[in-house]
Amino acid sequence: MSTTKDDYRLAAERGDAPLLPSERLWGFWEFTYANSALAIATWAFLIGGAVGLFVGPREGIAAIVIGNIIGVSITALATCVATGRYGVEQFVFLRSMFGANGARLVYVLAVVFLTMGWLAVLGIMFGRSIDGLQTLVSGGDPTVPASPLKIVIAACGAILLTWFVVAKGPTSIRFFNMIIAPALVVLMFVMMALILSQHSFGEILDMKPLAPPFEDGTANFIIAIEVNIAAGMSWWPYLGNLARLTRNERVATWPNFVGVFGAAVLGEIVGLMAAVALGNADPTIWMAQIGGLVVGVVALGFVAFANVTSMANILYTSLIGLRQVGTAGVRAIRWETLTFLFCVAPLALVMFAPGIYDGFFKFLVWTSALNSALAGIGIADYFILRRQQIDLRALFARPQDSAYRFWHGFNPIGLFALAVGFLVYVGVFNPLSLEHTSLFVLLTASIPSCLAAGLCHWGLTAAFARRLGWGAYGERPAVSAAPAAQL
Amino acid sequence: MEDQALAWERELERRIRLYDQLEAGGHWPGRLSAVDYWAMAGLTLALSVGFWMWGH
Repeated sequence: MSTTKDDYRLAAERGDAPLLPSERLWGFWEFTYANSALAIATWAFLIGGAVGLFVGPREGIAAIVIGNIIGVSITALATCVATGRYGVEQFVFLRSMFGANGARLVYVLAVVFLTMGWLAVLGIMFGRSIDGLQTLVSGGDPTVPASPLKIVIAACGAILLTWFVVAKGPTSIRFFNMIIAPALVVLMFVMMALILSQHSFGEILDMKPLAPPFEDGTANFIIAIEVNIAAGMSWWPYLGNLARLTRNERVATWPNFVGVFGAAVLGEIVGLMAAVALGNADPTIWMAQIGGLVVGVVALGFVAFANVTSMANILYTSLIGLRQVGTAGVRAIRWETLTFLFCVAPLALVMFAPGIYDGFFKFLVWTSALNSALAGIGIADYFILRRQQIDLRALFARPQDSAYRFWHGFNPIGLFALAVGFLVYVGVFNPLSLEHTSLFVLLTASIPSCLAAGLCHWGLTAAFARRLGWGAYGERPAVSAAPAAQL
Repeated sequence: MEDQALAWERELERRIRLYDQLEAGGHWPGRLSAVDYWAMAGLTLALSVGFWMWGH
């Protein structure tokens, strides 16, 4: 059986090799559309509603813009510039800063937990949408969930439906994406028009927050910004693998400022305005109230299935990442079985911890404790320590032969810096209780965490890694003189 | 099976050498310049300060 050029390209697309510039077809607008489609999702309504708990719409809009631009710009620098230049899969690229086994550990911490949490949250949102829809049709009060058991059953059904869709492969996911993303944009504008038909923009801006946790307005405002930085940084596991499909590093970076940033801001502002105007942060409740029976039924039905699309997207992306970080044993597991195994923990969360939905922003903020530190390490490693030069042979070599083998495949310095960033985050801001230090009000928690992890990684690498011979820092990658065409 | 592994290694090497050439030539198409980085920093700062003043 011979291997064709197309097979090689397919393997490179899956991350087994760097994609060549000629194989990367996305230009500026293609990438902008792709990452807008990722960001235009039902979680934008949830995040906007959560912002409305802390601050009113004027401050909320400011917090959404500030948080997202900071989160997206840091994340794009940490992930998209290198993957856009070299065309490498993001977790392969991470071998240069954490080692092959360290990259596996980061994958489990950052991708598996994040994906499982989101699957549970969106599954419950599906369940609540179906429950709200049924209540609306039967003439009940949509602000009171009819049956918690039904919600759990519907949520489990959504997760199992997602498993079915993803097990079928990417074609079905692409089909749903083509329909759902543009339709969600339309839905957002319809929602915005309905809200503005009931209140003027000025009236909405002057409305009060739903449940501010502190008397200090600045603290509430910074918490709202922090939630949005967390939202911006939550793209860390996904952006690099989209960016590698673009033509070059400029095309890999700038569209994030239009697509991910613009789409997330639009959706969150709609979620915020609706939540505050209708007095409830839960989109499945305010959608039932916003425009009467017909609009409510259509919106809730649509949002329920849009959730399944979002769930399928993140589940599929996470499983593709497993190809690069998984051991031979993991790769040998059948696709359908592996997909189902990913769904077990979300099913358990839905059944035994359904409260994750109402406090989902706490879960989101927890993920930022990791993502902000990862971004800081990524920027320090690629831009400062390696001066934007990656040794591709070391990335793809067998672990024991690689210049990036570090210590048994782990970079202790990178992992220590990750722990430092995480501890700084939770030291400055407790995502559970929302208690915070005075530094939080000045700098948020993600920025100190990002800086601490980056500085720690930089300082310890400069001091010890070269002496210990870890990671080939300060060495120019070996370059072959023979032209590629001769091979 | 061994032939396939060998062929894959040659393919991987071919791909890496193409990037070697770009690296050696010092010309990365679409490389982000200092202007790009300053523009990103400026955009982030302008939006942050502007919306802070407007909203808070």
